[in-house]
Amino acid sequence: MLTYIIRRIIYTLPIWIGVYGITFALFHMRDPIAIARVHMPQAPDAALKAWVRNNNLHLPRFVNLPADADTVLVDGKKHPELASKSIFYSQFFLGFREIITFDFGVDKNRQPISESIAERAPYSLSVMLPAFLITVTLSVVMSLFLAYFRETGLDVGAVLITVAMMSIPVPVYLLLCNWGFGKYLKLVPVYNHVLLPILVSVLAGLGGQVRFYRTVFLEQIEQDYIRTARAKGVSESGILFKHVLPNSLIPILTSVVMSLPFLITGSLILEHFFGIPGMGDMMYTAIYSQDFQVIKVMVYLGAFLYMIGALLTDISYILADPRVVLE
Amino acid sequence: MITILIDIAWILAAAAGIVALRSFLRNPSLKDARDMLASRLRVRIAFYVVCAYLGVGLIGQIKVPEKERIADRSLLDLSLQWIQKERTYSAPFASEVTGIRMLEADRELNRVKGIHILGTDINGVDVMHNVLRGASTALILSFGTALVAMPLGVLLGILAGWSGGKLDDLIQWLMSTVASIPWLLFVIAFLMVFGRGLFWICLAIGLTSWVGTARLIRGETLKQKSLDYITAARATGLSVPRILFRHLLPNVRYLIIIDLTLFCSSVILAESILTFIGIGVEQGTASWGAMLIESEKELMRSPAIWWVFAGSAFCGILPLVLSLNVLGDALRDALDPRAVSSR
Repeated sequence: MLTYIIRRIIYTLPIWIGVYGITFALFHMRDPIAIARVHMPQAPDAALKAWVRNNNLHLPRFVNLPADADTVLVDGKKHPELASKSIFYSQFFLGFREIITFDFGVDKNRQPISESIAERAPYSLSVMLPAFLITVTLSVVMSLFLAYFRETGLDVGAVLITVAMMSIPVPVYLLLCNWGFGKYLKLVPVYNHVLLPILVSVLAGLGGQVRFYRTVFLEQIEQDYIRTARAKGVSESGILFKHVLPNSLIPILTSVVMSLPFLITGSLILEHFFGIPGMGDMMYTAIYSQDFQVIKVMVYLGAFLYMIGALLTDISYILADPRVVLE
Repeated sequence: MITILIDIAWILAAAAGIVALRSFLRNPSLKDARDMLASRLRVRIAFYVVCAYLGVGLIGQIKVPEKERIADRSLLDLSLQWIQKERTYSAPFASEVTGIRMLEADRELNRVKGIHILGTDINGVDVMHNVLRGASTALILSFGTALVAMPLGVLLGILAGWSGGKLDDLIQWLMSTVASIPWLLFVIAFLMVFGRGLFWICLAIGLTSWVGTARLIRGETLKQKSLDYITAARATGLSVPRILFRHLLPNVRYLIIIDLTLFCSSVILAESILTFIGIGVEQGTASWGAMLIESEKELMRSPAIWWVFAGSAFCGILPLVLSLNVLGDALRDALDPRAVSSR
């Protein structure tokens, strides 16, 4: 088991390098002055250079060669601070050190980003975890129900409703719930800040999830072993709970375990709208203050959590299904 | 001059689209699939809704040169010229404007000049007109993004599936790498570096969303590769690009069509989310996401101005995205023999 996990982690190394390459190309290969101009179209050159400096984009890209004047900010000459640094004092290697050591540097206000993340993640989790649990439970129950009533009018109608629910973007749910519960029904504000984000998040996820689980269950129902079970005289509810549900565990686990790590990153829109000081809100603030370091860290973190999710999914397969063998 | 060229390009694109659609509808080998699609009422409705939005989007794109130098006047604006501008908000079908308390005595000034089926916004502009203008933004976004993602996905998918070996490993590594960066984070980062605007949004979403298509096409290519017709084509000594693009591609075409339909619906949803966060389309672009932001304020007024919200959400986004989803599912049922029915 342990060797499997270690080997599995080693396999993700090339992907990790790829992610670093993509983010590096994104943030560091464009002329920093041009990036600065995107955010401050009318600013004078001095302000642009100050911005570049604050974001550490004036350092050499790959290597800090003593004789090289390949830095962006300096008007033809080298910064004195760079001469005293090592050859690895460059954007590439400094960024690399950050992601290896999980020391993500500081944001615009000189706050250590790792600390902010540790501080804010619980807030995101406190909203996302209940929302996620409710969504998964509700949708598994509802799709089992639909699988029981498959190919009836109820099923057809419900599928159409789930597709309609998937066709509505999160902001629409958000505005609708906020207006309906906050303004029209006049529920107390405190209530809103805890329950409304959960409600919106459940609503936004329910359509897709119900549809997904329904397809999973129907895929199992069409299998031969179900026909055998039925021929033996197993009741319809026995088929659903004793045969279909356990055998659908793998797709359910995939979808659940895969999304677990993302519960701590929260939701950008919801957290900003309801004033929850979580990770989504941190991201939102970073977008508005053009805090590149924070956004870069979030991209790394997102990819990191995705890989954790994939690893956990694989491990959960082994635990859930005895047919899965370690290779 | 340039506007005329762009107009011509749009008209040519539309003509190409109509020709492609006709060849699809006339293709004898697809008769069963077509009958299956046409026999379902909701698929037909979805098809007409999508066509209507495409048409509106297209005439919203064709710019009309104007003597009075009104910039960006489209054929759509020209054809809706007869709609009167009001003083300020008016509810759908209302006879008086809302929101001006001070002028209540002056009934003549408060009277609404025309009929507005979705009312008017704060500046007295017809909301339905804005919703229709949003269709052309949705059109550009879906097509622009598809233009980036589809060729990338199809090409890399076919290459990976066909070549196997080292190239396959390389492309698979690229796919896993791109897939492991959450799309919203990548798009935000991309737009922060390159700036807002439709072009960059298309590029950003396109560069993250080709992986699904590529995986789909790769799997299908792997399967088709061992079929007899490919062996026959190889035996006759055809070049590899010819086999890939003249023989293999037409046989995975249905996958691309299904994928494209569902792809467009997700791009329209993504636009509204991005614009709502504040990094989507530039200010002044008529888009449904921008209308949603506007409606956030309007809903909080007293009495609530609900029609801007209702217009963008339930006359703009929902019908089009729902129709695309219904159409995509129906196409999958009809064209893809392996798919579990999603009826």
